[in-house]
Amino acid sequence: MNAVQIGKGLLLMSRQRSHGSPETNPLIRLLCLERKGAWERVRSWSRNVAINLILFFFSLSVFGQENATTKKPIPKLPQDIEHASDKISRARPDSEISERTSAVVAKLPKPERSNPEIVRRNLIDEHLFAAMHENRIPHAALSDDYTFLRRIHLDLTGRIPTPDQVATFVGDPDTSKRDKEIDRLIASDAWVDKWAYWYGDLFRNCANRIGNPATENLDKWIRQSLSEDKPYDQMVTELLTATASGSVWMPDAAPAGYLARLHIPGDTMYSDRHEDTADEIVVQSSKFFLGINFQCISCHGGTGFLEKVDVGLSKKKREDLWAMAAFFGKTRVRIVPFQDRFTISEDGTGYKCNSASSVRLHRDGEAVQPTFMLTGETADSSRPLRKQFAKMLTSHPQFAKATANLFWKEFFGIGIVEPVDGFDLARQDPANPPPLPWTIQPTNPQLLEGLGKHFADNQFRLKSLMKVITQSSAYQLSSHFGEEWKASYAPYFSRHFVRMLSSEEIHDAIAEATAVYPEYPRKHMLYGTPKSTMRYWTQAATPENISDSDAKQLLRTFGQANREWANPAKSGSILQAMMMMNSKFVISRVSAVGGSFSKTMLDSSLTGDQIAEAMVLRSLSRRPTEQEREVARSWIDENRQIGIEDLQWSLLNKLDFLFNY
Amino acid sequence: MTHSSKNRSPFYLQRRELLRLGGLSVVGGSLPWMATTRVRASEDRLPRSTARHVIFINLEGGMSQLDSLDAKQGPWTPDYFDIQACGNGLKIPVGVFSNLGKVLDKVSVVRSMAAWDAVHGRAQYYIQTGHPLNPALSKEVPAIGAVVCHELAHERRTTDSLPAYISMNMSGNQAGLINNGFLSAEYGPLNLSFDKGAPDLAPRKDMAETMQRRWGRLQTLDQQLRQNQPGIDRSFLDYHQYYRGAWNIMNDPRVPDIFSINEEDKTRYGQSSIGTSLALARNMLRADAGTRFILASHGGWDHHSDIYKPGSRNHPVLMGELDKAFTSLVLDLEALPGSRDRSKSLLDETLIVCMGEFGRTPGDISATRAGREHYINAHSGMFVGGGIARGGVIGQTDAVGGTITDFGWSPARPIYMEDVACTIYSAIGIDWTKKVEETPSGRAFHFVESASGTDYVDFQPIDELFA
Repeated sequence: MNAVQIGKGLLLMSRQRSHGSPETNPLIRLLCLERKGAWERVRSWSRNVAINLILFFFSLSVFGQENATTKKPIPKLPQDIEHASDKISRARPDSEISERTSAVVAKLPKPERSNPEIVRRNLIDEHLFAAMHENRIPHAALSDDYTFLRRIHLDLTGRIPTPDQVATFVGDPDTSKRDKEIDRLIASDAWVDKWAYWYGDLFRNCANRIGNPATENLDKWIRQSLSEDKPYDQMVTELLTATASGSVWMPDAAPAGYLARLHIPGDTMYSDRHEDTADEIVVQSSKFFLGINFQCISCHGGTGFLEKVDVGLSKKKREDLWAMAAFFGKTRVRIVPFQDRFTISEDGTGYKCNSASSVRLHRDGEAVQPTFMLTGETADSSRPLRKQFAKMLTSHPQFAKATANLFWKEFFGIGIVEPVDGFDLARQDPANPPPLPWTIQPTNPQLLEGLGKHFADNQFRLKSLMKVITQSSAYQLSSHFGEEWKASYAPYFSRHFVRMLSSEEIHDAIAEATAVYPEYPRKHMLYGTPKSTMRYWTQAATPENISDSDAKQLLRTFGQANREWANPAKSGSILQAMMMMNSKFVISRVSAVGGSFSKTMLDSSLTGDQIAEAMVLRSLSRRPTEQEREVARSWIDENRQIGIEDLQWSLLNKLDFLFNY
Repeated sequence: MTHSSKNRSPFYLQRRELLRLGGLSVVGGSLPWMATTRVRASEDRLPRSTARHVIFINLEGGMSQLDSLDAKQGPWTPDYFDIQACGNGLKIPVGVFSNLGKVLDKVSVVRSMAAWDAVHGRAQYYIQTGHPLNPALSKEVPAIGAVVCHELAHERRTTDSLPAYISMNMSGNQAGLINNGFLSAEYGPLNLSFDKGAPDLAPRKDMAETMQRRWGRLQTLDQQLRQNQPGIDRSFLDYHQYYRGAWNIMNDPRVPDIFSINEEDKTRYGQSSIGTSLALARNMLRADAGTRFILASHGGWDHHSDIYKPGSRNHPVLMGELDKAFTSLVLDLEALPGSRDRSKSLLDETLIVCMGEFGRTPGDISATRAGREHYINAHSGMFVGGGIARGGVIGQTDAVGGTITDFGWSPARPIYMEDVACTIYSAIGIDWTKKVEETPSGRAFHFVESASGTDYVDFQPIDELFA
C-alpha cells in the first residue's frame, strides 16, 4: 500500500462520521392530496351531458355554417413561426379528421361514476387491498374509462389515445374491455417502441465508443427480443455472454454493444482498464438486473462505512466485489477509437487484484476466485465463466424480484423497494428482520415475493409481468382521492400517483393533439438500411437518429436522456414551461395552417361547442367539463380563428396534458 | 405491513427521502436550502469576496497550450501564427490572437495547470464540478455553478427574474452538463442551446399581445389545477410555479434586450457560438436580472487530426473565435459600471475564467494524423476581473510546452481544477472549506475535497492571482 492510498484511506475513514441515519421508507414524501371536492366538480359536467347532446345535434342541423364570428383582423405571424409553419403546411392534412371527429364526439358517453366496490382481480389486489383493509386505510375509487384509457396508453405505449380509440373504448359495453385493451396494447408495435427506447436509455445505447453500427444493432436486437417476448433470463444471458469479433458490421454480436458501452478507458482513450471494465460490468448489471448497488464496495469495504446506509452491504468487502468481477476476468472488452468498432473476447489473463484504476482506488489485494456474492457459489474454472455468472444471476430469486420492482415503479410511480437499484438484502425477509432501528425495506414484502414468483413462473416474460400489473384494480385506481390524503397512505398505493410525461411522450402527444405528425428522416447509422421516416420519437434507435433541431430542443428541455451521464430526468423546470408557451415547435403547430387540427377545425362547419368538444377530446382524451366548454366556446364565438388557436395552445399548456394522472 | 415510524425522527426522514428522490423538489418546494458547516476554520483564509458574478468559459475538448497562451515556436508552427513576446515572458501567436493584445494588460495568464484525467467525460466532469468522477456519487454531486447559486440564494431579490445559473451550449456528449446534483432544482442551470443566433426566451415582438391573451385564457381554462384547491394533487400546483417563473422571465421588460444582439456586437464578438454566448453573458450581467454564474461552452477543440488544416474548423479558427469574443467581453465589461458599486467597472465585479479540461500533446504533431492528443501534464488558462491581478503571468513550461518548469505559486505544485474551484468560491465570497452533511448517499459533500481521484492534496485558492 503506498502513501497515496493510505492518504485516501484516512480520508475515507474521516468521512465515516458523515454518514447519516438509516435509510427508510421513501413513500413518506409522496405528493399530497388535501381534500375532496375539486375533481368532483371537474366531473360535474356529466350531469349535463344529456342537455349537451341535444344542443349538439340541434346546432349541427340548424346553425350549420353560420358562425357568429366577429371579423377581427388576424395578427400576422412572426417570420420564424411562419417559416416553421411551412413545414406544417407540408404535413399530411387529414381531410377526414373533421367528419370523423364530429361523428366520434357525438357518440361519446359520459364517464360512469365508478363503483366504490373494488374487485380483487389478481395477486396484486389480494396483497394490497388486504393490507389496506387490515390497517383501515381508505382508497380511491376505480378510475373512469377516459382516465384509464389515457393512462394505460401512456404507460404501455408512451402515446395518448386517438379520438377514435377513445370512442371505441368508452362505447364498448364489454365488461372485460380493459383487459382486452391491455392485451391489444401489449401486442402492438407502439409497445415495442416504448420499451425498446426505455431499454436504450437504461443501457445508455449510443454511438460514443461503440460506433453507429453497433448502436443500431443493439437497438434492433432489443426490439426483436421484446417483440417476440423473449424470456427475460434468456435476454439477460445473451447480453452478459455476448462476444464481438471486431468487424464493423457485427449484426451477430448485436447484444455485445451492452458490454462495450461499459468499457472503461485507461489513461488515454487508446488504452483499456481491464479490471475497471469488469467492475463496471458487474456493478451496472447488478443494478439493472438485481436491483443492488455495489458502487460503494467497488472502492472500499462496507464495514465502518455503510452501517447506516445498507445493512447487507456493510458486511461485504471490496474483495467480494472483485470475486464477482472475476467472472469477467477473462473477458477482454477493447475499443478501437475512431473506427466504430470494438472486440469482446475470452482471451484475458484473469482479474488482477493488484491493478491500477482510473475511476476507483487502486487495487491492492490477494487473488480471488470467481464467486457469486449473493450465494457464495463459486465457478467451475473449466467451463465458460460468463455463462455460469448469467445462470447464477438469473436463477436467483432476487433477479425476478428486482425486475418486478423495476417495472412496478414504471406503472405505480414508486417502487415497492426504493430506490429500485438500492435493495438492501438484509432487509427483505419479514421472518428475519434487521436490527432496530432498521425496518423491512419493501413496503409490502409478500406482494414483492408474489410478483417475483409470478414473473418466474411465467418464464420471465415481460409482457406477462406488465399484464398482471396493469390488470390489477390497484393500478386502475383514480389519482383523485375521495377524502383527506395522508402521506402515510402512500405505502399502500391507495390511490394512483400522477407523473409528468417523459420528453418523448410530450413530443408524441403534441403531434397527436395537433394532428401535425413529424416525418423525420431516419439518420441511418448502418449502411444499406433502407430509407425510412419516423412519426414517433421512440421509433429512433438513439436520440441522434433524429436531427430536427426544434424537436431536439424540446426533448432536451424535458429531460431527455443523453445516454451518457444524464438519465431521463423527471423534474419540471422554468424552461419547460417556456418551451410549451413560446417555442417554435409548439406555436407553429397551434397555428391554423396546413394540416394542423386548428386549421381543420377552422375550415369545418362545426360550432364553438362542437369544436371545444373535438379539441379537448383530441388533446386530453376526454370530454370537456361544462366550464371548459363554456369558456372555449366564448373564445371561438368572439373570433373563430383566434379562439381555436388559443384553445389549442391552452390545451397543450394544460397541466393535465403534461401529466399522466 | 412494515410501515412504522418508531425510532425515527419524522422530520429527518422526510428530508432524507426528499433528498433520495432528488429532482422532485421544485420551485416553492420544501428543500430550498441545505445547511452547510465549515470544516477547517482558518481565520487567515477568509473568502476574498472580490467578485459578484462568474463567467466560466469552458473550452470543451482541450486547447493546445503550446499554440495559444503558452506559445512555443517549432517546426509545426504555421507561419501566420506570428508568435511574439508580450511582456512578463508571455508569448502569444498574435497572428491568430489578433485582438487579445488589447486586453492582456487586464488578464492573468496561468501556464502551470495540470489535469487529473485524459478522458473527456471524466475530465469535463472535473472542471464542471471540481471533483473527481466517483461513480457512487456522481448523481448527487452538484456543479460549481449550482453550489455558487445555492450559497448566494439569500441575496436573490424579488426583481430577479433570470435563473441564477445559466449555461450555454454545453454539448450533450461525454460528461454532458452537470446539474444541481442533490441540491434543489432551482440551483441547476438553465441550459440554453443555440448556434449563432440568440435563443427565444422573450415572446416574439409581434406576439406580445397574443401571449398576454393566451396566458390569461390559460389561467381561466386551467384554473382547477392551477389554484391551491383541496383534492388536487400537489404536483400540478408545483408545476404551475414553473409556469409563473417562465412568465416572469417572458414579461420582464429587460429580457428582450438581454436576448438581442445588434449587428455591431455581432461583428465585434464574431459570428460564432462563443461570440453569441459572451455577448449574451454581457447583456445578462449588464441587466443585473439575477444571473450570477454563467457557464459558456466553446466546443470543437479536440483536434486529434488536422489541427492546423486550412479550410476546416481547426485550432486556429477556434482560437480566432475565442479571441474576438473574449476580447470584446473584457472591453465591454470594463466600460460598464458595476451593478453594486458604480465607481467600479462591471469587470471588477466579474470573475472570468477561461480554460479547457486538459492540454494537448506538445512538440511535433502526429505524423499520421497531423493532430495533437489529450495531455494532462501542462495546460494554460486565463483569469480576468473580479479582483484578479492585471497583467499577471503564473508558471512556465519547457521549450515545447510539455513540462512545467516553474509552478509560479507558493505550493510549488501544478494548479489543478480543485484550486481553480477554491479560487472561484473565494472570489465570490464562499468559504470553500464548507461541506453539506445531509446528502442522499449519506456521505458528506465537501465543496472541495482535499483529495483528488488519485492523490491526496491540500487544495487552495491561487492567491498569486489576486491583485
